[in-house]
Amino acid sequence: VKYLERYWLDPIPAVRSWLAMKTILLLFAVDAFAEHLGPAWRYGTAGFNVAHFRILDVLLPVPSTAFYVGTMIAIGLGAFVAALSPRAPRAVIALVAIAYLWSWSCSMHDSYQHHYLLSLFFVAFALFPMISSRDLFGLPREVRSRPAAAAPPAAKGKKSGKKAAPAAPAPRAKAGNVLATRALARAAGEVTAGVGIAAVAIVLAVRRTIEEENARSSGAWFLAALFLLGGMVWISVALRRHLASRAAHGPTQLETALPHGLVPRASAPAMVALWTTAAIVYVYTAISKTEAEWLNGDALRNLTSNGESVPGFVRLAGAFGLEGDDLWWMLGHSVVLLQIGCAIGYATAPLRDGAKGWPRIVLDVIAWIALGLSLSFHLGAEYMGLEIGWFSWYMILLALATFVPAWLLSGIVLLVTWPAREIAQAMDAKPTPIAGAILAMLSGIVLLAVGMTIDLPGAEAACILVGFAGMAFAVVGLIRRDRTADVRAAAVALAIGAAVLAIVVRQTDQRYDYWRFAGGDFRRRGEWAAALDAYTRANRYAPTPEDARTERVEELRERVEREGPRRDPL
Amino acid sequence: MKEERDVVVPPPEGPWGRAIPWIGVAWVALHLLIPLRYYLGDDRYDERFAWRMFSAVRVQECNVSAHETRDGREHDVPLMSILPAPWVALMERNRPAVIESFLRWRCGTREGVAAVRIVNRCRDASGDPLPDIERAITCASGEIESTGEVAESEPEEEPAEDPPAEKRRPTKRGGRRP
Repeated sequence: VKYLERYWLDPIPAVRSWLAMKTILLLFAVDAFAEHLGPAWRYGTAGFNVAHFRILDVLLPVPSTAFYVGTMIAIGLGAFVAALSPRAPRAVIALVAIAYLWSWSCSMHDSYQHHYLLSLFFVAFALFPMISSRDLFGLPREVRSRPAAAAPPAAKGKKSGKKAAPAAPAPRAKAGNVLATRALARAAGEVTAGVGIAAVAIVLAVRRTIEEENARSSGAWFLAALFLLGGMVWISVALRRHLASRAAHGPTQLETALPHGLVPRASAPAMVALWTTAAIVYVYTAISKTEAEWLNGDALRNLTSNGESVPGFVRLAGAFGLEGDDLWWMLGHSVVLLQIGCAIGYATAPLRDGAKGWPRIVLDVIAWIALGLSLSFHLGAEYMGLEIGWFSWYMILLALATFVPAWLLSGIVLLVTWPAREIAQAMDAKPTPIAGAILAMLSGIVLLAVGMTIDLPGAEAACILVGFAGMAFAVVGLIRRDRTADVRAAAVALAIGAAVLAIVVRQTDQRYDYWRFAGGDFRRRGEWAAALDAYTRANRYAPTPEDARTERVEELRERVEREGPRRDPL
Repeated sequence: MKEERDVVVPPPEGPWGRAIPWIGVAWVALHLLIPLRYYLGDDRYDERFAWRMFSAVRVQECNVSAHETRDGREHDVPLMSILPAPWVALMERNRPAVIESFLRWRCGTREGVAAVRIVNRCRDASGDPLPDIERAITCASGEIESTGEVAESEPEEEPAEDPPAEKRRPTKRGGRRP
């Protein structure tokens, strides 16, 4: 029981749950607009529907395309509010979780398993500790005004026998803390640069190998190895300096200056639930890949059209002597090992940051391996062009928030959120509920304007409803002054969400896809008038003049004149 | 409990502190059990909630055809002309709930239909043909029967009116859905 309690309740670095929730919600907010509106034409069309759960067929009416579009827009805007509000409103996350659960389970049209996984993530998010970056790192003025770290007495020689660095004289508070922040920024920057150099070296070598025959002997890989080594040395030096500084000065300057140190921790059982869920997903995925068709490579061959969809990779493998059946056999088997490695990484993630001594070293190694495996697997899936929506990117964000060292994540969040905390500090001085109400009204107007121009059924109604919800929340802000900051944040998030919605709808083919697929479906089913209307709208949003279905519009116009709005049912 | 400065949210104490680890165990057990439904069940095509993305079953290539008995004779049903293409794709994936719903829907919405059957012809990942799968309904009784194999001389489905581009969205590199 003691070990069970430690696994589920021991505080973990708070930035892990903070980053996972914020980044995944933000990605989802854009995903809801960029990927879900185009296929929305399918819902309820022809009056036929099968829900994932029979009880939904019994209890709820057949979903309509307008209701689906409206729900996805409302969910996306809600996700923006949850992601951009300093302290994510639990009720909004819960609403997003429920609405999203309905959105995929109401019809088997959405059979991607990642919808189910995302729903589990959202349930976990709703139970996360709701912490703002201000809770984690305080306001900038607090950091500046805290007393500087007291330097410990001159340290005695360490175990390594090296002489410890002499204790630095305590600088004045402000200067000391700012310098410490810069040092952290430098350490984070150096590690990032090291990783960048290594990544660029590998990418260049891979490209050269793919582009040239016999590239292995051309020296590209020698140079890649050299740069990789350079990157690793750079990272090692930066880490060593960071650790040496900690060892020499006890708590570093910045850790003393920040209210909870550089790596604040939080008990987050819901994050542990999310990690265990990810581990289970990888375990079962590994099991499913142990079938003969996967192990012998037939399934991968089929997925990649015998390598035609990944010619670069096939050429790269060929340069290393892996070709034909051997290549596919090796890939089929390696996928299983890779999934198991990821599962072990997620299952041990709750133990890592609290461990000390050799268990910590082992868990760190597992985490690094799991990070590499996870990135290679999901980036590989993107490279293969598999139609899995943005699933890979969700899992990449989760892997980064889980496996990257906590001090580095904390440092990045501390620096990235600095401007937001400066703004919060400035706004704190003037709590103005009226300003919050005006902001909510403005965001409602922006939403209405965006909703009116989207030209998808249900979009306008959703924008109006969400705008009203924002204004109702503003009334709460007028009554309760302690909610003023929340109202302001929600209003700004809604305005940003509305702007992103407008940009995404204009810059992608969502409307074109929606109307042309709807047109194709109506036409196949003999709904001539509806098809004519849909194709006419599709032509409005055709990416190029060549994509316009002008001939089809003419054909349908003739059919409507000749046969009426629809043909007899078959 | 010792107060630690770096802890912003301490572990819950009291009843919640005792209950949460067990709730966590129940969560894990539940999510281990749900996919087992697939492995212990007898429907190898319903892979939902079993984390079998791009499984060997999924990469099978299938062709579905529908036939109905009217006026004592069997007629082909042009599926693509009566159902949105995504539903036909799901029937090609042998989703029993979709196929059964379609059979009942066809009996209920089309007058004079005595029986409807769906035949799915699949090839595995290596391209070898698999036994045909057939599901049929007798409209009067509403009973649905499933068989793993059907006679070899079944008529082919009518071609769709639209080119395949309208049926499935093309991908940049010819990618596949999970």
